[in-house]
Amino acid sequence: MEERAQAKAPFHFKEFLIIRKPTGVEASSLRELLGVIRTIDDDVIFHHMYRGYLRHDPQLWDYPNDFARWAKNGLESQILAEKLANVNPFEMKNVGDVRQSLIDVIEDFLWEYQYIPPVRPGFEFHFERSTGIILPTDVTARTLPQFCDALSRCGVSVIYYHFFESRIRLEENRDDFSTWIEDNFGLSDLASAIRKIDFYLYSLEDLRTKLLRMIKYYVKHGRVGRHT
Amino acid sequence: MKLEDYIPVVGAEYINQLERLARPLKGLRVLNVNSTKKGGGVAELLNRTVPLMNELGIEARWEVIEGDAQFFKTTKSMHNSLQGDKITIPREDLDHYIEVNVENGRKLSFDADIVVIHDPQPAPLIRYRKEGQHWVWRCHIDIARPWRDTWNFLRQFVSQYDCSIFSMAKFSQNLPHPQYLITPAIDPLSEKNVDLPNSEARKIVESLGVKLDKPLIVQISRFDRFKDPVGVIKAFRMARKFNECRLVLAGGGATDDPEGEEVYRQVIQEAEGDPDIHVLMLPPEAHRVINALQRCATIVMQKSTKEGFGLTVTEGMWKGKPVIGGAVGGITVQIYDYRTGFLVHSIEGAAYRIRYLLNRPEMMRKIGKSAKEFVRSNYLITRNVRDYLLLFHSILYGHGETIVLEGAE
Repeated sequence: MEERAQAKAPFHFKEFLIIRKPTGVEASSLRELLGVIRTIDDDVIFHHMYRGYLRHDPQLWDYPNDFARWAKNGLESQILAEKLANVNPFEMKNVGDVRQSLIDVIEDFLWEYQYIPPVRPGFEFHFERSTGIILPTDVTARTLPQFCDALSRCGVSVIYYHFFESRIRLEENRDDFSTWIEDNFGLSDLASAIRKIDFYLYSLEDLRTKLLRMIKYYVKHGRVGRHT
Repeated sequence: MKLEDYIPVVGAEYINQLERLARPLKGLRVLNVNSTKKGGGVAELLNRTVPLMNELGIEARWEVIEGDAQFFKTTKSMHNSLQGDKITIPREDLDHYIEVNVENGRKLSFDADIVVIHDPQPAPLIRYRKEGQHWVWRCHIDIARPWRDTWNFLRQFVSQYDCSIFSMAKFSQNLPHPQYLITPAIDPLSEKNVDLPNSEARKIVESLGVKLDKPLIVQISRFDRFKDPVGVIKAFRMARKFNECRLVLAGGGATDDPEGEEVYRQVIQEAEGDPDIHVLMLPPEAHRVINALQRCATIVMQKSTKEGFGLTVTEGMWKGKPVIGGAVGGITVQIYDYRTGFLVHSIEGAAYRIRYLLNRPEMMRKIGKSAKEFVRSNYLITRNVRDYLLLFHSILYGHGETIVLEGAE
C-alpha cells in the first residue's frame, strides 16, 4: 500500500449532534412499555434504538439500545436485557421491522415468565425523540495516513454520523468510511473487512480504536490483519 | 473567563465545535430572565453561560425580576407544590404573583429574537411576547409529579410558550409545543469548582472550626426539607457507631427561598451538642469554602428526597469523590452503583453505604476517578452552551427532525 496514494475526492468529516426531546409519555411497567412501543411514532423508536451510541458514556457502556438498558436498570431483569440487546436495528429494513422485533421479544418474555418484575421506583421508561444537526468540520483527508490522523482526533459524533447514521441515509447498510476507501483507493479487501465489523456492540470510542488499528495495519503491511 | 480557558479541561476540539455551531447564529439576540442574581444553581449557570454565549457571537442578556416577600413566599409554595407537596395557594397570592410579573414586564426590555424564561417565577411574562419572537420556558425543577392545582394554574402560562426545556425526560409534561431536554452543568473554572491546592483547601476548612482528624462526610445544599438534612444526620450517627467520622452540613441561602431559615433551625436542634457534626449556614458568595469542603470530603452526600438535577452531586464527582445520593430526580442519571457512586433509598441505605465506602479506600479512589471523567464528558458548562446552540438552531429551523447546517450538505 502506497502511503502517499491520493484519493480522487477528499473525505469531508462531518459531525452529528443531537438535542433530545422528551415526549411526556412514560411506561411504569413492561406491559405499558409494550403498549407504547406498539403505537408511538417511528422517530421515537429510532431515537431509542439507534442513537444511544451518542448518549451513553463509554465507561458505562453495557447494552447498545435504551430498552435493553432499561430492562437491566429499571426492571433489573438481565434475561430481558440480553434478549432486547440482541435486537440489532441495523440488520433490519426499517423502523417498522425494529418495532415488530421489540414487540416479539417482549411478548415472548411475558408469555414465558410467570413473574414480571416491577419497575424500580424512579426508573420508569421515558420516551424521547431527538433532532439531529449535521455540522461541517474544517477537516478533510486525501490519504489514508491523513484519514487516520483525523479519525484519531475527531469527536465521536463524527464516527456515529459516518458509520451508523450513514446506513440509514444511504439505505444500503454501508458506512461512509469503507465506501470512500473502496471508491478512491480500490481497496475492496480493506473495505470489506471494515464492513464485517460487528459494530453494533461497540461504543463509538471502541469503534475508533478498531478502525484505526485496521487501517494502520493495512497501510503498513498492504493487507488486512487477521486479528486487528 | 474566556472560551480558550476551557481548552485544558475539555480539549481544543470541543471549543472549535462550539465556534462552528455558533457561526451561523452570529448576532442572534437572546434574553434570559430569572428571579435571583445570587444563590441557587440557575443564577450560577447564567452567570457563566451568558458571557460565553457573547464570546461566541450571540448577543445574550440576563435580566432579573424583582418581587416582595409575599411574591417570593408564593413562588416558594409554588416550587414546593410543583415538586409534589399538596399546597393550595390562596387566590389573592396568585393574583399578586401575576401583578408582580406585570409590573416587572413594564420595566424590562424584551428586545430579543429568543427569550428564555427560567422557572415558574417569571412565567407570566409571556404576555409581553412580540410577533416574530420565540419564547422558551426553561424548567429547572423536579416537576415529575406536580400538585395538580398549581400545575394547572401555571400551565395556562407555560402552554403559551413556543417550546419548553426540562432537565430530565421524567419532568416533561403534556404540553402543546415541542419539549427539549437539557441537563444542567457545572463550571469547572468557577470559584466553586476550580482546582485548589490541598494545603489551601485544608486551611479553609479548618478555619471553619472543622478538624480534619477523621474521615469527613459532607453534604452541601440549601437548608430545604427535600434535601433531607435531618436524614443525613441520622444516617451519619448510624455509621459513626462503627467508624470514626465527622459530618459537615453546609448550605447557602437564596433570596427567593424564605423557608431556608426554618429548616436550618430544625437541623441545628437535631445536631445540638454533637461535636462531630458541623452545621454551617454559608453566605451566597462562599463558593471557595464549598469548593474546599468538597475537596476535603472523604464522601460527598446528597440524600435528597426530591431533586431537580442535583448539581452538588456533579460538583462532588468533579472533585473525584464518591457520592452517595438519594435515588430521585437527576441524581439517578449521574450516579451508577459501584461506578460513579451509590444511590440510596433510605436513611439506613445511606448509613450502609457510608460504612461500605469508609472501609474500602481503594474503591473510593476508583469510583472518584471514574466519576470525574463522567462529569467531564457530560455535565460541564461547555456542554450546556452546546445544547443551547443546538436548541437555537432547532428553533430557527422550525423544530425539525434533521438539520443540515451550511457546508455540511
